[in-house]
Amino acid sequence: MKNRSNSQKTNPKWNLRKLPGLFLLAALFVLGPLVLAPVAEKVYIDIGTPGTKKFPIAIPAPASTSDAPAALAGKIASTLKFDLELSGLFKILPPESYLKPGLPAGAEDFASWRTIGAEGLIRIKYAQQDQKLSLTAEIYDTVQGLSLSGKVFTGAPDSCAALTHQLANEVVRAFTGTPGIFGSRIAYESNRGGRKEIFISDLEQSRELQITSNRRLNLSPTWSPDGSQILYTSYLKGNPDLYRYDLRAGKSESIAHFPGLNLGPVFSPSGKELVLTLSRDNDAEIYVMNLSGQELTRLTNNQVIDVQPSYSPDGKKLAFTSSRAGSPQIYIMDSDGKNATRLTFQGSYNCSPAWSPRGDRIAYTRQENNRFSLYAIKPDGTEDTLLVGDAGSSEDPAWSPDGRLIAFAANRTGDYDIWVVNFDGSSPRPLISRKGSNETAPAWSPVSP
Amino acid sequence: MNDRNQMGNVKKEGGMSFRQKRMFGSLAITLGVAALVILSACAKPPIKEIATAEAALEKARSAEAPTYAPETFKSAEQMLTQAKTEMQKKKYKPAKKSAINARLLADRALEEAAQNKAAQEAAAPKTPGLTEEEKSAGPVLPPQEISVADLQKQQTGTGSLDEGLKISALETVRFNFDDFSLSEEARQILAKNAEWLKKYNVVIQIEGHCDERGANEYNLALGEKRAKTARDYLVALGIDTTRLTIISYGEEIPVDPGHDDTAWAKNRRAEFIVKK
Repeated sequence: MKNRSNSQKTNPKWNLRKLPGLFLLAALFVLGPLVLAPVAEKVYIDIGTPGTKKFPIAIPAPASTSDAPAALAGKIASTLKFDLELSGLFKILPPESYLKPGLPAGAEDFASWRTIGAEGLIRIKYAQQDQKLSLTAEIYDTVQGLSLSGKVFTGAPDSCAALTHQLANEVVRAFTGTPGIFGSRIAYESNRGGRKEIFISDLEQSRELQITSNRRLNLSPTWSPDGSQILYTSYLKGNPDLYRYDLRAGKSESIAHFPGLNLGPVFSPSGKELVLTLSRDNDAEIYVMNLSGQELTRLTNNQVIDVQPSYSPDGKKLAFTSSRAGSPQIYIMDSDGKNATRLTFQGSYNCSPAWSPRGDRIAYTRQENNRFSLYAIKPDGTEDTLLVGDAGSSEDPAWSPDGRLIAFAANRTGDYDIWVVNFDGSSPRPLISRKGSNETAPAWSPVSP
Repeated sequence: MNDRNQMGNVKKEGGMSFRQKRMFGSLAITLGVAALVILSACAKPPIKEIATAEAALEKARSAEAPTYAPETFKSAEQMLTQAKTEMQKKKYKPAKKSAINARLLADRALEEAAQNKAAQEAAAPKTPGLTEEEKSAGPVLPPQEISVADLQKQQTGTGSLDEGLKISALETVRFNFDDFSLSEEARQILAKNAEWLKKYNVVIQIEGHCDERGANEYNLALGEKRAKTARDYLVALGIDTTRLTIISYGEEIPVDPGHDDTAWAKNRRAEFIVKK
């Protein structure tokens, strides 16, 4: 039972272990659902609890049930392995340890899986018929001998990766109660051609798309809430102006070109307006603009730098960086610019706030000894916690859509690459890396439907 | 003056009476008038200052300042207009300031006009034969044109996005970390740059840059503040603001790709690029 936190899937608590009283209360909840709760409500991995151990699962080789190309088995297995390892939630047991890897004629022999330590089992079958590829997944709890999920994913023959991502999302949902984020992509800057251009890559780095190729400077990509557009700043015409790239049309258009800086465009959660940084009225200040660019509301008004607005998921608040206290610090204000309060008091240089999709953490970077470390803090200013600070600089945090992972730019290998770390700071690992160029400013897309 | 007389009277009146009631009354009046004096000192229409500025402008006009010091004269006129507008809006304090500035600008226009007129008259006969050396030697005003060929002789590079000319005469200014204030050394460099800009009629772009440490967007804002500070200082030294544009590249275009104090010190800078 060591890996099982049976607390209810609704309301996963952060840092339960730091609060003994709550922990006892949670323990009471644990005993109730064990007896009474229906299977579907059970959460095998509490994704809200830091330091949760990885859940051991077995994934026998996918079995073909038709004349589907045998090569697909390897493709499905490798994509699923990549996804589930990236999630940071699972330990995939080595296939050579499996006692009965083949499809059973009758019922699944759960005891043989328990023997090798597997607490979960994923059986995959695939078939290709009438120009359609389908993947079938059966997900089991081997300890209780229960089927948690059985689903078929169908698409075009060349959609194997996309279907496997959907399957992986279902695996995550079956064990945690919340679907995974596979199939999402990362937008980022890369200076491989000399000056920074904007790129998009899938998480497994198998397909990369170059959005800009103007050999000017292109910076700070962000996604629209529906994932169909990317906003960025470009010096295309000399001044740092804002552009919007439409992924379907494959085209960019200018959306803001005020005199001075036009930076950091971020869609509001509703997608109806943008928050951005302009210096048209003196120095860098934060504004809200409607999508047509006609209405502009100024949110900050002072003689200091105010940049990097980041919306809370409900759209009611904004975290931002300001030098109003003499050095850059993180602040929070209402989304109409009222009630600005300082959030960070440790460290003399804090920047790049990123509000988590769950709303309960703000990731940011702090300068320490000429390096930058990744931190996260609660919006009420408590639990200011170091996430990554062991080697080189870790900057530009960006949350995964489920709030479980943080992508960031790290230079620990000599140049900057995009890395990813679990929300609790465990297991930093490279995600998008290229030798000899800097990949920076990651932005995580929503999960494509 | 009126206010002061009134106060004098009141005091005198108060001093003559020995009855308590009147003493209270006069005290109240004294306080009231004192308040009035203070108030009116803060917010008196600067009629006198505006009249002085108008007179100074008239004097400059008759000294042919519109011809021989057109830019300064125009600034003086604009400043006077601003003063009048502010007075109409009952913003007396800024109006007073503007009026004083208008007078100072008019005085300067007068001076410049006299100098320029004399210089032009002196130079007129031998203008065709003036050598480059002679041209750059004297206090020649207004700024003269400089050929692209001459600029290219001094060229040491281009602007950060490959546009414009970086020339040896316009030196780079450096800054401290997370700071946009000008050091004494920076001010000396800017003074030299201003001298060159007074000689040659070019438009320049001031590029603000930062070292690699810190958030890119914060550094873009900081680089802009560096460029603005440098621009404002040049304007204070008499360079027409319309000849100075600014841009920030933040930490994006370092001159030294290193990751140490030496490289960072070089990269925190404002550069001056001739755009023509």
